[in-house]
Amino acid sequence: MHVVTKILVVFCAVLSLLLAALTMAYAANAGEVRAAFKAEEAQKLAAIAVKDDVVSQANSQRADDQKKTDAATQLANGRQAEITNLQAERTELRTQVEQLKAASEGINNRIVQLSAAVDTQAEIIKNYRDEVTKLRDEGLAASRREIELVDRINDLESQVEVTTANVRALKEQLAEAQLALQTAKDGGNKAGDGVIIAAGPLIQARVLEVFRSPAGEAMAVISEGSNRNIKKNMELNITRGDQFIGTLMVVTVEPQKAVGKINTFGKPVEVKPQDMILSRLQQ
Amino acid sequence: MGQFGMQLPGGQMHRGASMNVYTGLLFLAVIALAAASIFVYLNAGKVGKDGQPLQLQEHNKISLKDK
Repeated sequence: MHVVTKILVVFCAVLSLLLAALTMAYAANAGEVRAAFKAEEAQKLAAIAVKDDVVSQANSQRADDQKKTDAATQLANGRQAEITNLQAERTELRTQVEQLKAASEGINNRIVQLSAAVDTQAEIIKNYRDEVTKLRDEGLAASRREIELVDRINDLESQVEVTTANVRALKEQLAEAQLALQTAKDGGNKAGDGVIIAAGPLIQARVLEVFRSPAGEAMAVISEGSNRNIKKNMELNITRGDQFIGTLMVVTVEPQKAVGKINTFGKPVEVKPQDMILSRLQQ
Repeated sequence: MGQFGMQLPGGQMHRGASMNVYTGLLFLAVIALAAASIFVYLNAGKVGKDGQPLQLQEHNKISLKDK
């Protein structure tokens, strides 16, 4: 065997031993490292699970915190709005307080002015009272005088009424005298028949009713009587418009009406209610 | 006299050992073993305790060399 071959054999043996030792150590260490790696991996998975749980809890907690934060924010916003409103209200109240102070000062000033005015008015009222008292006394005196004058006027009016009644009676007496005088002057049949011709103021009346007497004479009731100075045997004229119809000889007189005999002088006319009765045909 | 290289008559001719095919195979084996050893040494150093290829790791106490 060649020496080189021997050397190579020796090297081969040594290298084989070395390789075997290295291989065993490598294998053992690789196994340990692999086991450790598995353990670490398991721990990692457990840690990841724990982390996920923690993250989930953290998310839940964060969601709750977010809700609480939102609620707190909303509450804070509400509080802020309320604060703003309260500040505005406070400002308004301050303004009102200032206004009320100013009004109070104005009222005080006005009270002072009114006090002065009251004093002045009291003095004026006092003067007025004195003057009114004076005027009342004067008025009372004037009233007394007026009463006296009224009494005097009433006396005079009574005297005037009496005088007027006397004048009216005298006028009636004068009218009757004139009528008697005229009748005497006429010397006619009427005076002899006792027929009275109305004198004085014009007498107007209306025919109320037309009827026949038991003797068959046409009779009429008129709307005026002794109140208008209509007397028995007075002859009145019956007209309708501008037409003369006849005469009415009064036979019965009452205060508010009279009854008379109709005379149409043979004319074919008929007296109707509402025909006019006149004491004379000319004004 | 043979040790002097003398060819003695009647003497068997002495010839030296020479390299043959096994020598070549051994050489290749040595080369392969050396390469494998180097490779395993380098990788065993990566997993060995404190970077030592022949040191064993303790259980649940792995210690690697920091690079």
